[in-house]
Amino acid sequence: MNALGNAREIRKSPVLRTLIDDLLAEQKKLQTPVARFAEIHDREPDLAAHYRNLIPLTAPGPGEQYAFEVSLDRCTSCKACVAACHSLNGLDDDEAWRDTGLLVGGREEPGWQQTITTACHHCADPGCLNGCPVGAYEKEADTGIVRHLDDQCIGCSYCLLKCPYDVPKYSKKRGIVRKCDMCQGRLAAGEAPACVQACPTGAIRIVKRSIAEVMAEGAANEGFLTGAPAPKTTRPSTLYIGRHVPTTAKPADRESLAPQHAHWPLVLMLTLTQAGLGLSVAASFTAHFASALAGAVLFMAGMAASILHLGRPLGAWRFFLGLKTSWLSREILAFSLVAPLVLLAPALPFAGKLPAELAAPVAKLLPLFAPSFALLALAAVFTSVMIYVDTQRKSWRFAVTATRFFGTTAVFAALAIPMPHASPLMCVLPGFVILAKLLLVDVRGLQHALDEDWSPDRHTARVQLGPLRRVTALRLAASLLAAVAAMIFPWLALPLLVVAELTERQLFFQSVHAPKMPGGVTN
Amino acid sequence: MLPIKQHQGPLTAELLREPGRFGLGQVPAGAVPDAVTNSICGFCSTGCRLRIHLKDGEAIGLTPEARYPVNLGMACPKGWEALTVLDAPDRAIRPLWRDASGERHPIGWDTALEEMVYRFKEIQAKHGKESLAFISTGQIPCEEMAFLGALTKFGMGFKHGDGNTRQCMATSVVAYKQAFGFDAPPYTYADFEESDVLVFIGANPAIAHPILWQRVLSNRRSPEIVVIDPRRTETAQSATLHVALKPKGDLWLLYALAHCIVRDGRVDDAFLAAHTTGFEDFENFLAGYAPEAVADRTGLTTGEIEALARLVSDPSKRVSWWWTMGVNQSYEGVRTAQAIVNLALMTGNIGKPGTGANSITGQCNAMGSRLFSNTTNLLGGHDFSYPAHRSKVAGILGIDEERIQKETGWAYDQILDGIDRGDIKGLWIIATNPNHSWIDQSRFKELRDKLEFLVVQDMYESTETAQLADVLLPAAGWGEKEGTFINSERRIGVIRPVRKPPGQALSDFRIFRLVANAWGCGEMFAKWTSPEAVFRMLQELSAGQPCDITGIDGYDAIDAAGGIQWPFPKENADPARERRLFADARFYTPDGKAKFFFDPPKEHLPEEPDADYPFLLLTGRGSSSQWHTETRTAKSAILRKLSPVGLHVEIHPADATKLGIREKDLVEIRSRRGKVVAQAYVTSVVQPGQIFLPMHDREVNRLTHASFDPHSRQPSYKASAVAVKKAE
Repeated sequence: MNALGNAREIRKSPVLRTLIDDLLAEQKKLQTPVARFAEIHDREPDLAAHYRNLIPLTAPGPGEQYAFEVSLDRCTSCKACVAACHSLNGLDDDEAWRDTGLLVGGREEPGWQQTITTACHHCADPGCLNGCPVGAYEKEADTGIVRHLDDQCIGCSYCLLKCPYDVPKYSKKRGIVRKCDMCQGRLAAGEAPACVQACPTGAIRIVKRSIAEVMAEGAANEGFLTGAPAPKTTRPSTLYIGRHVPTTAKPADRESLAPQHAHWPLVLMLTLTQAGLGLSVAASFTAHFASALAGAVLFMAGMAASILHLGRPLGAWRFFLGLKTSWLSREILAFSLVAPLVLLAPALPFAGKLPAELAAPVAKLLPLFAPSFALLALAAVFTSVMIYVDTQRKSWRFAVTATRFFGTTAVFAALAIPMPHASPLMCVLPGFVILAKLLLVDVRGLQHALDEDWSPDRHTARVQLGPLRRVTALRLAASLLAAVAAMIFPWLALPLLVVAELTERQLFFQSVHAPKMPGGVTN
Repeated sequence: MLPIKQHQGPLTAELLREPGRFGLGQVPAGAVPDAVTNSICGFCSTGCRLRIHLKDGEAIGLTPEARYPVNLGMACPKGWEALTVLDAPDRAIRPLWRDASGERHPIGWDTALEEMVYRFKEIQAKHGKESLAFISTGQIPCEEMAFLGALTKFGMGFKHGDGNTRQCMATSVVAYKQAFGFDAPPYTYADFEESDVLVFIGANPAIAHPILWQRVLSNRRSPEIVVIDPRRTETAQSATLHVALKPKGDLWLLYALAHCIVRDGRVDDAFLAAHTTGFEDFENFLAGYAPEAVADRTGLTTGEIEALARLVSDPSKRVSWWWTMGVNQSYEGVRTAQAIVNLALMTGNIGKPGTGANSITGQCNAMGSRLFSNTTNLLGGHDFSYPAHRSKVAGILGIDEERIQKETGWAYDQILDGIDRGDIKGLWIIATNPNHSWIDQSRFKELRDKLEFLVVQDMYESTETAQLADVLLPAAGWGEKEGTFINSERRIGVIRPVRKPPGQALSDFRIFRLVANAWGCGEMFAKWTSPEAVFRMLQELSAGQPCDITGIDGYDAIDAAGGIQWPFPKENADPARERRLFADARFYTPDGKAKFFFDPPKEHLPEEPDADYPFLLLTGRGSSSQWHTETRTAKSAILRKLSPVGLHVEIHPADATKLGIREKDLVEIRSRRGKVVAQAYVTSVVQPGQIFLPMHDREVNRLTHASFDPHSRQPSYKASAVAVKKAE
């Protein structure tokens, strides 16, 4: 081992040890030569010449707004726009207000592909703005930019459901939504938005568009982008130009069966309030304390759960700001009105025990309570239904959503009827209603799994039978068990029915086909 | 009282933007710099310059630099995210030693160096000096490459060392060296804008070199853009003509084009006579390559071939040829690249604006490795076998001439074969990931067990290769160190340290200093104190070579000039910002003439599809946001967002129908070497009988068939026979 000399003693060499220390210290010193001092001074941005032709020379005039224009023939899939949006706007690690996806040609031109870059479309009739219960969206009068007021937002996420293009994104750590503001501060200063600045081929530009024209095109369902959600709902202002898109073009991720977010607080809120109202209203007709109490407990649990859905519930008092356009505001109002009645219902059986001077007027009003309560309860459930119908999602159309939501109220109301006196005939009723809902909602929906062509209904059915098959199985089993149990003893059926309806609502949220801009190749 | 509308507040404030000064325009209010500096991007060979935003000396952001002639203010997503990937939790922060059970333990630098030196010396004592080898990279600066090459070969007595550049550029190197007399890509990026006909062969710059594609799209001459590629790639989608040839039909096609051009008398006779040799032999050779004779091989009609031949030989047009991995990664890549060179020479499309036979390079410093890695050639593009070159190098470096080996060492695949035979017992891997990227990957892992000692030097402790190391040396990455890169168009640019590396990670340069010292040859490298000091030596080494850069006055001068293309000699240097070679039609061969090289194409693929493995597997770039084995790009949430989710195999609808495969089905792809499972992406972007997998997935190279170009030893990644079926 002579050749090795003192190799085993290397680490003890003082020269080496000093060198290690020196180099470690040197490595931690940054002595980067910086650009000359003269460069510090304010000057026109270096890229100004590049983007001068990519933004309008003047601000929009009356009746006009800023809009993105994307030249598909110039977009070659480099995706720098997304990285620049993230970086130049100081967004979270995984956050970008622009995204890219892929359109493929479909039957007509099978080898055709086109990358689609997309951000907020700053719609002429923004779904986010119309749906927001607290006025956290504004469409700027002078620019038409749809701005989100971060400090106004209560994090209810309804705009996520309302936007057909999947634009607003929820920030969990902040409890609010954030979205593209078209870099309005940059535009105001004569600078181009981040994505416009960063596109190597100038494929993205800002143009001025007549709002009336955007509205008209949207109304005619024209002029947007094949393969993207139809423009009728919100009248997006973005223009996609420059390359012929086959009429059969479809998003590369269309066949993806990834389930949507479950929104657990909403699942609980909707199911439990509807169940509670069903029990409570029926109990107010039968003047039955136990079922009315059960109804009140479920209802209030649902109301409590709804709070959990808000990222910043303290701002919810501003809900009245949205009453004009937002079904969510109307739901809050309706539920605030119906809640006292739910709490009152368990007291009805004890009306006779009131002091004499109160008993008389109460006795007069008493027959009116149950019918008015029922009407108000139906109205409240109706607002819940409309929240989802108003998203214009095909899988949440009125017939489907109403059957589900009113169905929940109906099955629990049916269950409450035999609760005071469980006669065999009465016990068949809940079983019948449960099975009816199962047929109308689940069985009818699942049939679409066999459809030849893609449709939102087929998507929903395949998600239920694919990634969510366990939930679907649980839903079917719990419903059937509840139907059987109700015939034996209604109270036994109650927990089973709660499970059955919770899973129904979970499927409602998770298997919905959520419209969005074309996505990339994905699982 | 709370206002009805809150237009201001802490959440709103988070997104405020303020003027960034320094010509940056508005930047996030929380990231306004107090100084800026410049650094060349460390991913690909485009060589974009990034303006680094500094606060208290450390980088807080970056933007692509508007005034740099390469990228004109643009970058691809990788460049934008270059700083993000430095913050990954799996950065190597201290040396690690792996015990017999495979568990890794942190150790000090002193112990790591002792272990490395002791074990390496022990191996040399037992098996001879040449039983140690290194495999390095195209990702580190010239100065570090030179240090590694000099340290291992002159200081530690290695004979064999190679780089991952063998996987990407070796073919072009050999093709140019033979044809032009020196490894000299002749073009400048302005040629993209000045060309009338751009022919891309086996290249997908739209996503692989987006910033070069930007230059193509800024061409105002309404150019014809021809893309020759079996797949209808992103680039092919926006071409004016997509030539969807059969895989490996390229050499046949190029000879057929040459045949037509000769037959029709569309050659530039005067140029050929004055500036080339070997054309007559080539002319004779071409007789057998009439379109009718080879159409079948190319999958094209004779009409398509004839039309293309007319287009690329139009004397009124400036025709430029561009190629990348589709050509280089082939068992006959050198001749294919030279077939392109031949076409450019025949038609006089060389040395003039908008012309050239142009190889687009891969890694950020692949071009630096071609001159200064001391592997295939002696430092500075010299030849190990020339005594005059050896003595010149020895003189400049102040070392004993006898320490310089007299012949070139082994190529990458030969080093691995050497391990297999037991000739190589110790290996040092620097900044590359063969346990993912090497062709027929499973063999690499098997070979690891034949090594007595493996040292891996990397930024991350998690790479597939780092995990196999006996000793892992933690390296600083791009952004944490200094040096120079050379880009595709021969432009030298500077990278700067703008971040402190985590823990005890050191720049590769400093690691080499430590190893030199620990090995006992510190004296030999006494002058190698800083990257810039080494750069001065590299300049001296380049004197008199085609790549002469003796006229450069240090890093700051490079920065101020907006990068400097070689050559830039001390005397009569042309200061123009965009320079192409061979304007004088004087090539670097001894007689100054370019030379024609050609060989008949192979009759069969190295692994021809057959009844058992009926499909041909193509591999390549997945998206603009992915880089090689993704050790870096996967560390950015934004780059991950822009990459495909999961592994997808492109399969033609006709094949999918035949195999009962539907969109998104799981598909099993099997070769003679392994199998992988991927989700089906049914698309006629690929042709029937072919499937495509992106190279970034760690499993894909289990499938690839190891064959090599005989001249360049570059692996042929893009044609392996596989079987495809629906996964059970």
